[in-house]
This record gives sequence, C-alpha cells and structure tokens, in this order.
Amino acid sequence: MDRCPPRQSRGVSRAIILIFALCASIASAAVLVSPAAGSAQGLLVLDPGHGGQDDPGGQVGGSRESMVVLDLALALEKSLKEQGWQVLVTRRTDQALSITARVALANQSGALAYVSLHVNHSFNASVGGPRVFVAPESLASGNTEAPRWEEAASARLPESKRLAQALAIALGIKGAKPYQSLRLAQFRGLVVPGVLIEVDHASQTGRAAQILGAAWAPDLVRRLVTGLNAWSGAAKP
Amino acid sequence: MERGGQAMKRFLGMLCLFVLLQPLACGRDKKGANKDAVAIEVLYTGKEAKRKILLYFPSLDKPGLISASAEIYQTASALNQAKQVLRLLLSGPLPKGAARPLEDGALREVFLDGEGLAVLDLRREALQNHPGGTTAEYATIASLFRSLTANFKEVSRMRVLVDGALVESLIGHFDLSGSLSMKDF
Repeated sequence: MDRCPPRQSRGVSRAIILIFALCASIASAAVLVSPAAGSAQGLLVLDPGHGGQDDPGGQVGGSRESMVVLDLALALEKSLKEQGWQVLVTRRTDQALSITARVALANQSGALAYVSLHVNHSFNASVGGPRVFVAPESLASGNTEAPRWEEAASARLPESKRLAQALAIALGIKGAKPYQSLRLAQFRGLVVPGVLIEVDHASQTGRAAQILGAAWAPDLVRRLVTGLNAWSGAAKP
Repeated sequence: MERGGQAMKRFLGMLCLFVLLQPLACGRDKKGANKDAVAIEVLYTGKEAKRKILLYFPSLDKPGLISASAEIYQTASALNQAKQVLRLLLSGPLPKGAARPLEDGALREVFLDGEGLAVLDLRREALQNHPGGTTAEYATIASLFRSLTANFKEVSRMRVLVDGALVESLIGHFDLSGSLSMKDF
C-alpha cells in the first residue's frame, strides 16, 4: 500500500505552505514598519553609545560617557515624540549591548534613520565641538559589483550624507563638507541611513564641566531636533 | 659508557633549558604578569647596522598625527624590525607634542603573514586607560598602521586583535572586524 499522497496533491500542499509563509513574512514586516506608518515624521532609532560596567567608553568629568549619552538620548526621544516622531532607543539602562545587536535592531525596525550618540575625546585638548560621521565610500566609482553585506551602509550613503549635512548645520559645524566619512563599527551591515554623532569633546580643556552642566543637554536636544526635522522635511517629496 | 655520559649531558642540558624557560611560560597565564613580554624579548645584539625609520604619534597640539624619525637595528627579519618599531612607539623616547597611542605593555604579540598583513594582538586591560572617543581611537589605530606601513614594504594591511580574539572595535567606534588598509585612513 502506498501511503504517500499523489505527486499532484503534494505540489498543492507545498504551494499552500509557500503562500502561508509569504503572508506571514509580509505581516511581520508590516508589524516592524508600522510604528513609522502612523506618525507624521516617521521612525528614528537613537543609539546611546557604550553601556555596561565593563564598557570601555570614555569619561566626562566624573561621569561615564555611556550615562551622559543615555540621558541625552532619552531627552531627545521626549522632544522628538512631541514633534511627531516615533522613536526607538536601543538601550534605556546602563546595559552592555554589542554594536552588532544595535545595528540589527535598527535594521529590523525599518526606521527612517539610525543615529548613534557619543561624546568625543581627542589627544589634543584644544580640539572641541561636535563631529558627524557617515560610512565611507567603500565602492569605487565604476564598480558595479554589489556591496558585501558588511558594506551595506554604503548603499544608503546619499541619504546618510543628507542627514549628516542637516545635523551638522544644526550643530553649527561649518565647511563645505561638515561631516566625515569613517570606517565605524556602527555602519557595518547597517541597511538604513545612519550617522554617528560625537556631540562634543569632553577632552577639551574645561569642557567636561559644561557638558555636565544644566544648559548643555537642552540646547543640544533643540539643535538635534532642528536638524532631524530639516532632514525629514527635505526628504519628503 | 661514553654514550651514556653524552646522553646524561644532553638530558641535563634539556632540564636546565626547561627550568630557565618555565617562568616565561607560566607568566602567560597570569593576569598582568606578562605585561612586558614584548619589551623583554631580545630583538637585537647591538652589533647590527642601524636604519632610519619614521614613527607616527597622536599629536597633543595639532590635528592628526605627528611624525618623528628614529633608528632601529637592521636585524635579519622584518618581524623583528617591526617589533622594534612598535617598541619605540609604545615605550621609546616621546617627542615633544606627541602622545602615546597606547600605554606601554599594550602589545601582546605581532605577526607578519608574509603577504602584506600585520596582525597586532593587544592587551584588553591596557585599553582601560585609553581616553576613548572616535577621534582618539582613530588616532591610535592610525598611529600603529602608519608606523608599520611607512617603514616596511612587507606591510600593507593591518589586523588588530584584543587578547587574541577578533573584536568589533577597540573602544566602541572604529570597525576592526576585518583587516585595515590605506583606504581606511
């Protein structure tokens, strides 16, 4: 006795399974994207850098950089939500989180952009001010090969550059190209437009105390919201 | 009888060598005990000819790196000379206006693959005193890379490990997941 179903009915079963899987994946994608769909501005991923007790991040006066940028991210989230943005913050506590996990979170969210927040340090104590970074041009011009997955960020580079430009202007950075291209771990495998912002230099003489002061974060938040709104407005058709 | 005496001498020789090398071997497993492993390694006799090299340090008062000339012994292998360069960079005389890219003892091991790649294995505990930040991290990596590639035609790429393992980055910014080449700087 042959207990297997006839070949034709096996084919139908496979087709049903395939259609079911396709519907499920479309539904899950809709869930991921839905936070942006209902808002006026869209979804942003804010990533306060570093975190956790073994974190190698720098110091800002007597505070850890990871805590300074966490407070900044949460304040920025509040202001952005008031402006109609949907916001996803990669960590809300002093927890260790790999850069790969942060990037994966941004990719899965289907966000309009990923913004990584840091406080900079330089060996030169006279250097100050914010810096904005985007992924490097990994593909040489005329190279028609598809990017390797870890270089995916270069595919969204035009949008990332526009975002970087808008943020740099809002932060008061001057120059024809007020942002820098650098091979940063935050851009490895990132498939949404992304920037890393070093919002200030804690290593600048006397600056750490100002960063920890009451006026620093509100002014910075206002500038960042201005930059993100300008980018979002310009990006709309 | 003669043969037995020679065998005994050989055995005693091996025993002496084992006893002498034992502290070095044990030190590798103790945290911090092997801090100066590269520094204590004998890299030259002092009788070799010297060659001029360029070292690139993070600058304390200018943008980017500053270069300083120095001399190393022209020993037979490029690896040995590369170790001399890195030793000077991390613990040699510090030029005016220069900073150390990493503290002394940060380097666990160096390896050249003979096909242009230099592998630097760094000690994680030595990174705790690094200032952090994208700019300082970039300066550290660039200082190591430029100091090797400027002096050795055998080196065109660099890979950085920490405690023998691949890492996402040194201090949380610069991508160290693959080997670095000139286009990354």
